Amino acid sequence: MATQLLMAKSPSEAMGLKTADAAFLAGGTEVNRLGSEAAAGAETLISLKRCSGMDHIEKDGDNLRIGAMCTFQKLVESDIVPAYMKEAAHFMASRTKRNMATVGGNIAALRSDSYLLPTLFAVCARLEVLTREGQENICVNSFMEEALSGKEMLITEVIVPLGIKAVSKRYANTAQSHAVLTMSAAVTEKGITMAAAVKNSGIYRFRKLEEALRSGEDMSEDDMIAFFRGAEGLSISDDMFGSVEYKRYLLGVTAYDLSRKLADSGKGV
Amino acid sequence: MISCIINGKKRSFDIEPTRRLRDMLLMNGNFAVRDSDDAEGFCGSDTVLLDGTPVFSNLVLAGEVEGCEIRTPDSLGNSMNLTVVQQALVDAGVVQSAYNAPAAALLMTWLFENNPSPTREEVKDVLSGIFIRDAGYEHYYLAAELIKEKLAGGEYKTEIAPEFRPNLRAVGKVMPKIDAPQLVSGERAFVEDYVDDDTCYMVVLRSPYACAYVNKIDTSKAEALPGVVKIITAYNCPDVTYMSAGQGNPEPSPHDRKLLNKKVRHVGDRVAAVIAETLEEAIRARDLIEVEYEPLGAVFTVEEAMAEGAPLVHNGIVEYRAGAPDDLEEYNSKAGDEREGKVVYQFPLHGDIRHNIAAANHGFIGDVDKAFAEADAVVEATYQTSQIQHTPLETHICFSKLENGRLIIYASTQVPYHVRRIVSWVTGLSENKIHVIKTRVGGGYGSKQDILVEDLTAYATFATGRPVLYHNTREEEFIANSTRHPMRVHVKMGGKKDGSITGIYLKVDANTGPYGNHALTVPMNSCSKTLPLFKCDNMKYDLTIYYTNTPPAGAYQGYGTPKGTYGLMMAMCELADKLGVDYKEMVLKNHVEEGYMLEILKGLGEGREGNVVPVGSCGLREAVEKGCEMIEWGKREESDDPDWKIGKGFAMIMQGSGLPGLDHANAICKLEMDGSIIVTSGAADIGTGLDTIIAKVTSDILCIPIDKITVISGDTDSGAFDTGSYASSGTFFSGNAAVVAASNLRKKIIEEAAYQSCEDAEDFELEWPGKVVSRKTGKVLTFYEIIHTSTSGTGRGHLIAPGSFTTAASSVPYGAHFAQVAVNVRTGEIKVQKFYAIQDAGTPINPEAALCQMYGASLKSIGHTLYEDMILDKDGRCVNANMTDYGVPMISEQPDDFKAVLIDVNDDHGPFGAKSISEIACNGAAPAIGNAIHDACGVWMRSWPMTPEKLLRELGKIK
Repeated sequence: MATQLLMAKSPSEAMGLKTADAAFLAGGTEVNRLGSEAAAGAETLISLKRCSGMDHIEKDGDNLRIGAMCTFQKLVESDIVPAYMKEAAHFMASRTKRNMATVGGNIAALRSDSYLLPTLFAVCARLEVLTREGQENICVNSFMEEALSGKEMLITEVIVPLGIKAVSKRYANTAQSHAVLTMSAAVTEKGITMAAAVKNSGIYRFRKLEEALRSGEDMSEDDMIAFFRGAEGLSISDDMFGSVEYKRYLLGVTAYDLSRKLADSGKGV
Repeated sequence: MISCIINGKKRSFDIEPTRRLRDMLLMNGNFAVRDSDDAEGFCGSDTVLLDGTPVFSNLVLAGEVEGCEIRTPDSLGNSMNLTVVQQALVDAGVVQSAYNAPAAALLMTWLFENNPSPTREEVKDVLSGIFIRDAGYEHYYLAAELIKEKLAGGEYKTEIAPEFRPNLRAVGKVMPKIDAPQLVSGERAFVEDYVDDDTCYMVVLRSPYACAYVNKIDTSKAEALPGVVKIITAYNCPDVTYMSAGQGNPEPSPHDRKLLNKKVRHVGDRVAAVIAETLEEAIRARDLIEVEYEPLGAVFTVEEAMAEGAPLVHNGIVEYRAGAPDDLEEYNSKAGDEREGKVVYQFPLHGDIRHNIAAANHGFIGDVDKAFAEADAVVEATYQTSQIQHTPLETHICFSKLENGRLIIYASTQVPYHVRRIVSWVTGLSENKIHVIKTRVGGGYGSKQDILVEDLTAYATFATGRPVLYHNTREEEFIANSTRHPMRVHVKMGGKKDGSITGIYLKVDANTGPYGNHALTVPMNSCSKTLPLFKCDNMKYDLTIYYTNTPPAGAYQGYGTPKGTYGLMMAMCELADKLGVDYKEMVLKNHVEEGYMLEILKGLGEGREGNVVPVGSCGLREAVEKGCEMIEWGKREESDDPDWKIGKGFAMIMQGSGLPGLDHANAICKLEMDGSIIVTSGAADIGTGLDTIIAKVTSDILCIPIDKITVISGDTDSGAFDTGSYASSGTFFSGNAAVVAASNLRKKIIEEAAYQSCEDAEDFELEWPGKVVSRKTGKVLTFYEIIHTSTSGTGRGHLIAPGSFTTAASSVPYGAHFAQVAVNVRTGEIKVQKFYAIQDAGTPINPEAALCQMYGASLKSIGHTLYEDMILDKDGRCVNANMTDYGVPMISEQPDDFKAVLIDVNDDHGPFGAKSISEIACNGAAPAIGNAIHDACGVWMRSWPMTPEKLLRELGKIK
């Protein structure tokens, strides 16, 4: 447990306070959660709750800028947040938790049962992050790669596209349980995109599948199931959330369902 | 220094900023901000409003609230002045064990302050962050309606619950539970609220091995730490063999554990107890204890336990208090070394520890083989159930201290007198030197029928002379408590084309874990509370209970009945399907009716010969007919989505009302100096409203308003013996003891009035409120006048009447539970769309509380059926010992259409015709849902929890 709490007043101050044995503290539903690994070993916590200008929701052309300290509940209640983001925020079933959990915190936790990451991957969201070198605008999967490699970054904004169609599906034992699988699909300007969070495995974009679908390949449900049964790069294992076979089967069925949903919505696949 | 505003008052605290907000609030005296999940952000007991928004205070750091405004549950009304919201929760009946009631009241207050007319969805949303295990959520919706009506028009319009027995003023009427104001307002109520400032803390070092000898324990480094008071190990504690089940003495459970054993038998077993002046010091010391283990082979399933040459969980000597077999000496010649300890049977339970058998039982009526041969069809299947945790919101806790040479024990228990007895055994103190005070109990469900923490805590005080607090973590609730026995239920059932059942064979293999508490009685209920549902002349059962190295099993609401019911009712549905008979018709053709002699009970007497009795009052048929009508049995429902298939199922259910011939209850009724009444009862109200039942029956017998009656219960100093709250005995036994005591006091009051009036007692009768009237002369004496005279300098003494209740009569509650499910045949998802619990509880003395208990137990059993499962790894370690991963149902899992209906039946033996209500409601969900799944998609789910993955496997979608 940390022994020091620092209250940053701005993102730059927070970044300036960041040391190797410190961790950022956003809503607290991960970092302060007993047994959480989100800030394991951190001696110092840098709270972002007093940082000004980090909980806004603003339109910016065809995009929406969401402050990293925006809570899940604020997303749900906003009139301008797209339906796909509200759907993802609603995956967090506890209202009290939604009052606390923040968009930036959930992304930064990099959990394999993340509520938001599959959707953000699928819609090709971008992040404004503060690094030692200054402000950067990066795509969400780059953030993930760099964060995993140990680069110190503070998410300040999440930028999601408006006017696109995206759908998601989450599977969990109960609504409050960690998800075994959350999958999202979207129709972006490049065509269909598909991503999933697989518990204890990771967050994935399925580019081969996307390419097949973009090329007009008519994939049946069985094709989708077969694709995921044989998909390479998916390091899924048997665990208490389910067997490998179950998870791969579910990926296939869900990919089919989501692609059909998008097709039925008239945006075309 | 951190400054903030708490409940409208400026406060400053000298506290580390990294401590949790809840810690700070406790420093401020806001103890109703509780913790059920060790800061998991799940249960919601720690909910507060932070700058007007509900948050989990355990997930906020103290340093983050500088300058903030905080509101806690105790800012609402107190027990003498409840707010509209608090009162509505009380009136709706949801304030039961109530550990989370203050937090729920705060959330509902916040909701109505921001939205005076919330929709059902909005109520659901605000309660989505709070776990309610006892009453379910349905009556929270009702409470919301009541609040709306009260705020809009000053009075309730919606009926809270049906009322019964119009000739009575209290019994059967909607009336607030008498402890509800205290509980909803967050006043002192639970063990943790009574802990003294100078109390030491105890923590337990637990085994990392499923089975090992503890060869050596080095506590020297730990003992050198400042603040450490004592460390107790197997090498310095009393050599007393006992067991944890709170059952009547002599218990039908083997004595097979000590305070601390030299052989640990499950991951989480006790190795050492550390008592220190602070919790932090105790934990630090625990981490410094060095233990030399000698790991041994372990078994985790009944299949492993029964295998030839399997590692033995117990391999010491066996003793019998009575009925020792002739070959015992030879049997004991094969015992292992002294570290094994011993197993002591109070009387033979057909155990054989050299084959990991803790107990067994076998019996039959008729000839099942002949019955199967004569049947037109026979089905045979095995049903498997998982290991389930009770998850009471208040984890197990005990506070003990010494006062003038006596041990004072504050316990959250269902069995205060058994706690006293077992602490007496462990410490060697006589029972007059031990005072057990049962506080309010924040959820028991059977887990607090076991003496799991009181023995060690009380011994720690006895050994050190210091006040000691012990409080389980949530993880310890899973790994070191008691759980529902996993069972393998094998059913063979034969029937004729006309739908009559010719024979039933039930083979139950139960996993009791490492210790034998309730080893026989819980699995026995899988036969004794199921087979008597059937009007069948040929029935046979074989029951074997195995020791294993899993976390311990024990009593759990319903005992073994939910599992036996699951197997039998699923098999019956399979048989109906095979015979081409409608399941409902088959149920109606084969269920018992009033007067049917239950020969099968002869062998099912909890280790003794059982009472063969006829079926008494029985609302079973009415429950089946009513439920079939409600769910439109026979009508096929179609979904708009072809992936979702809809099906219906139901199960008939029964339980008991205590244990005739075994249970015993006492009460003492006293007329106070102003004419009011105090009842002292040995009963243990665990939130279900037992104290209110005692008050209500007393009120109706003595013709006195309920607010003139105080019930003091669960205190071993002031009350008289009661076997405790388990086996659905509370209403029937403790309630009947109060009936006897009140009736005796009524007689004394009349005799005294007659004496004071120089008239005959036969001419007097009681009249409302609290007076005695002579039919002959018209003379009226109030209770005040009578007691004033009888306690004067020339009076005949205080009017006090004891009441004792035992019986050989059985009052069996019956019912039927119905489910409509939707099954996604591509993803395996299962949704319970409708669930109807129809029950005959005799006279429901507290109707609104009864309905809530039916909702709570039904939702709990829906959880068992679909979600809950303690998962062990290959080494016996529970990998989901937390609330999030374990999977309890919350408001999101509650069926959209959820109804509880009481069938009006007046029982001959229960107090004012009452029978038990809550426990039976655990029994129906699994077979009702399982049969509905079959109706929906044609597969039989023979293993609970019925997960999507298992369903997909049954459907052939995955291998």
